[in-house]
Amino acid sequence: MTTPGNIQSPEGKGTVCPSCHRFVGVYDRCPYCGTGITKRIPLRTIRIAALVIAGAGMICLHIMAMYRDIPAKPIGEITPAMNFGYVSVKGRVNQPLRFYRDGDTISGVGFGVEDATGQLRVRAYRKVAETLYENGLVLRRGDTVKVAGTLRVVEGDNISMLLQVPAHLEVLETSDAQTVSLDELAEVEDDRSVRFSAAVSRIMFPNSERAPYRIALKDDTGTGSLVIWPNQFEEIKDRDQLMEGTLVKIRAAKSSYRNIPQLQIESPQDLVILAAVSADSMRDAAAGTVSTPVSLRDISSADMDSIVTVQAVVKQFSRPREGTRAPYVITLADSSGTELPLVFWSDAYEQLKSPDKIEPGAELTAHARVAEYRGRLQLALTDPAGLVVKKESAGTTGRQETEKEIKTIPDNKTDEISGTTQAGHREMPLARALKSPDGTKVTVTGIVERVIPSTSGSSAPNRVILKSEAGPVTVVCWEEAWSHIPEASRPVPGAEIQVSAAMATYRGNKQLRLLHSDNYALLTPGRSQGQSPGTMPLKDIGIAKLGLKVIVEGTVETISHPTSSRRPYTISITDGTTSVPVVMWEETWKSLTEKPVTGSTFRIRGTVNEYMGARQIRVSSGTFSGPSTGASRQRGGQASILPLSAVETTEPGTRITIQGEVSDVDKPSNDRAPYRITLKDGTDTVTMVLWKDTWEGLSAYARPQNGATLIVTGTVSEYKDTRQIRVDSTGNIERIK
Amino acid sequence: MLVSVVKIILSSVAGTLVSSLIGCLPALHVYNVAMLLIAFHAAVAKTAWGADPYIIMPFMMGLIVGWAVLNTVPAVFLGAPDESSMLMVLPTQKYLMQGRGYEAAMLSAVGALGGIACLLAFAPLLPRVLPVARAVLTPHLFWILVLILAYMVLSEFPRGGDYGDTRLARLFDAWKSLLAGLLTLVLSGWLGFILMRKSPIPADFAFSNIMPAFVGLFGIPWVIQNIISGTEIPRQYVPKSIDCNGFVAFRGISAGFMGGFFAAFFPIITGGIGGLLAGHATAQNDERSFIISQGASKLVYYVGAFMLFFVPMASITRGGLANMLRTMYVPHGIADYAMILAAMALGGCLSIFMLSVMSRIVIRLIQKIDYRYASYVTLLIMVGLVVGFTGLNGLGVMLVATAIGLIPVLFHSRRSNCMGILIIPVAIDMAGYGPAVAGFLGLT
Repeated sequence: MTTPGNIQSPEGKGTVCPSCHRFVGVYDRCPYCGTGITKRIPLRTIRIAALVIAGAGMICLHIMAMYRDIPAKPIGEITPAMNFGYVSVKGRVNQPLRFYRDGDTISGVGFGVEDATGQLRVRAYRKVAETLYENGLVLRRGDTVKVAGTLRVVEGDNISMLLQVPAHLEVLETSDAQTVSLDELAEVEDDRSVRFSAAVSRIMFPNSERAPYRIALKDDTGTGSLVIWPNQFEEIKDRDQLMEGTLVKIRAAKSSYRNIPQLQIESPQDLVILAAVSADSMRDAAAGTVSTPVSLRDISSADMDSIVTVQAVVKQFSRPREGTRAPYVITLADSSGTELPLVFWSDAYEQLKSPDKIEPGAELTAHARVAEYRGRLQLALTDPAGLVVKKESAGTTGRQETEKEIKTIPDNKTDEISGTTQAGHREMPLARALKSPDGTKVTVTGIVERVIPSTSGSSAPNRVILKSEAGPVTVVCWEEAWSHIPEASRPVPGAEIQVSAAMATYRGNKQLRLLHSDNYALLTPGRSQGQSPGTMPLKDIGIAKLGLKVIVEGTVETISHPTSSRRPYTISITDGTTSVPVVMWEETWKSLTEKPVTGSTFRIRGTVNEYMGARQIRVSSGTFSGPSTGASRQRGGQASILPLSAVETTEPGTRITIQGEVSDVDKPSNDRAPYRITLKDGTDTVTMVLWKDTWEGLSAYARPQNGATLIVTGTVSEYKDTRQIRVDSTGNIERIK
Repeated sequence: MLVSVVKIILSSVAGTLVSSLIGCLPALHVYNVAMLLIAFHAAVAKTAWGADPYIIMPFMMGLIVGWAVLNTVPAVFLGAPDESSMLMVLPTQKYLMQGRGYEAAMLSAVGALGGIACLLAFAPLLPRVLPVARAVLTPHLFWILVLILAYMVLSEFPRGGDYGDTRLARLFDAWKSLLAGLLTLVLSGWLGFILMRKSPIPADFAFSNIMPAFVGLFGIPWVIQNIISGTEIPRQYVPKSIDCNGFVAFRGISAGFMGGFFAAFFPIITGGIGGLLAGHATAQNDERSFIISQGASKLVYYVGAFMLFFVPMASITRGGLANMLRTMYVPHGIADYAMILAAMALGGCLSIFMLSVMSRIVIRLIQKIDYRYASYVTLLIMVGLVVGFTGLNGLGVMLVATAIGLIPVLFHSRRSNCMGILIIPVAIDMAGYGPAVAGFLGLT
């Protein structure tokens, strides 16, 4: 125990004089003999020293940090030893910036950066993401950025960066967008940004939460397909006004999907609605008038690329000479005395509702883009269907009235032919109709040889091929008219139909253009086409009565496995145009002798019901039969093969089919690591994971190699915060190129 | 298959034996040694020398299990307090001064053994429970961290207040340790913010960014304390039984497991903080239970955090070792999970045995050789590692951190306040105020 008498250091120094051995306490010198006393360092001194060093040291460190530049590194030089390092990288954006939402709040943001040495993914969360969103940040492919943040290196070469300060993301240079018309898209390199104006011809809403919106576009030169992801769509300003006929200005990245040009906006701000189809304008259009036309005199080069509505008189109409690629040119003049040419090409001409009424003196309204050709202003027709002849020229009216008297069937006779012959049309045999000049309105009757439906996502018309003595005759029918023909009355092979249509020539072949559903009649039903007997078309599920027991047939698009025992299996089936979710509980799933796989065609018996406002089919035990084709590799339509960008938004556990080009094959460094194959398709880059046994089971040709194009069916999984696709069978990999 | 099993067994044993030696050196952290593995792997990953995951993963598990158990040896035998802090020392050090150091080490071993048993018992449930727990708790981590920070500060209370000529002097005497604790928290948080935003450590060794600060905050002050304390350790006895019964063991293990697992699951929270919370929650007043709970808490924290990395479907990376392993390999599926559990059980058994052996060896050594020599060796190793990995900049950071780490030692406040180095900047970032604070401090 310590007592006042023995308070001293262990060595006996400090409290007792080493000369006279008397107690000296705290004195530095012995008060008895004057000997200097060696003292231990007081604890108080150490305490003060620690505080001073800590404080001063922190201030020095802080000053050092304030004036220290964040180290810049090429991405390729980032190693595992740099994990958690705060560095900056400079590079080109290779995946556009995308915001993620959690309800109404912005929960995160991500984009990809690459330089000459490698690539990494940049992420930010919560407040940083919110700040970037509030700042209206847009990053598109090709933009050059400098970004600093904390590195995360996972398993050697999977690098990401956490952006912690919004100011540490600098946009150094924005990429240029090439202004094009839709027919020039095919010539544009993939991943390049393009800018154009066009009219919406069709909007295909996503059939699941993970699927994108697909918008068919058209301008005076051609058509195009635009992909918009739901989170982007929700951010588009005035998106409620987006409908058929809406004129839009778009900046998008061009890619190719199955060798067909595809466009994808990189930011919601990239789609601007120029002229909405309001209820008033639709009414006006129906009445033959278009609201808010501008005077030709007011159109100047300042309006370049903008869409205008004009109302003017046709002064001259020049058709291109046979065999040339020159456009049709209507010289317009209005009361201001200004004249401007309105140009369009043959594709647009074929879509005009009243081409025969365009004659000098006729008054028309049209939507057109202001353009320039050889230094002169001109108007490029953007919406052929929107060109409305308000007042025909005197010559046209007189000639038509004469034709009506001479060539049409008298009104009192129409009842005799069951009302199928339309006023203004001459009834004639098919062979004779083929010899009629373009623009002649004819009524023909024929047997359907085959029906070629419009391809999903394209604005091409449906084509009905009729048999005739002179060979097959094509009747074209655009979606607007086609959709109004009742499903049960639509032409099928073997059916006898009557159509009243205008003759036209397309690529040198005569065809009939059916512009209105009223001009069509089914005389004799034909044999069922494609649809198995007794099955209900998928598109009718949306209007089917709840509780109705139905049989449907379709191709399996996606399969969502339940995340808990209280959730069902959800299988999306499609017939190429419509997708319907099919749900079943685990016991039903287990009872299936053959499990559905993506791409197989199944016939399903179930009950129509509704969940969260959407129709679906609920399958009870033992009523899921198929696959009707037996081959798991068969895919019913384009919708079953998803773009790679769909992987990032697909729930883990979902089985999907994707297509992409192999850009990298990373072989495993040891027995337990998988092969990692990087696929790209212009929409995204995805890692495909393949275990060694699967790899070895592939034939030499099927084994992924750089540049090969694969169609892959696999399960989406999450690995290191990134979605990837795991392929567990050799049969799920198909090399197509 | 047989080759793989042999590989797993041998590498687990090797890891445990290596950490048995590391664990006996005071203040040398297993993470500092694990960094050597990362540096080695980064250099050879693309060559034939690239480590086999069936070797590296069980080896790392053996390393962490061994260290979590064997680290008791320096804590009990080499962390002897001087007379000025006798009233503040942990019960283990009281045991040491009573010649019962071996018994204290074995009580800690009881806790570690219980911790391993609990982890194994709960292992089958974790793949089902953890993904749900993670999904539920992740959005709330910020306020949980702030709550813990507030608890750490508020649960300290004024001590002393008996000395001083004036009331103000006595008030200062009472609040001295409290203020020192707050100062430690603030200074270490400030240091952490600098290191996470604009660290002076070269970016090429960023994985060891925090290492000089940890060595300075926790390692060096302990070594300095040992060197200057000059305490003579009384003769130690090696009994054939320990003073413990089932109830005491159960209480200690359950509290330790709760605290350790809490710390392992929540980011940034350490075993010390977890143990503190669990100790308060279970109102422990028995020194034996306390020592057992500390043994269990430390093991469950270190080993559990590493084990969570292997839990299928959970995607949880906690603790330094898991973050280091993540740069080399990411485990896949139930097979890796089972493998790591096997390595844990094997390493755990061996390390309990090694604890007894090493405790006896250290008892002999400290009675023949001045234990301060071990502290000098440790000091040299730590400074060598810091300079070797992070250069002179790292040495500067270590010196500043040492000064901060000495404050709780010298003012008798909680050393866990030094964890402000991680808790404060991470909590600020989670709250979304990181950019604003960084801007205010001029660190953008």
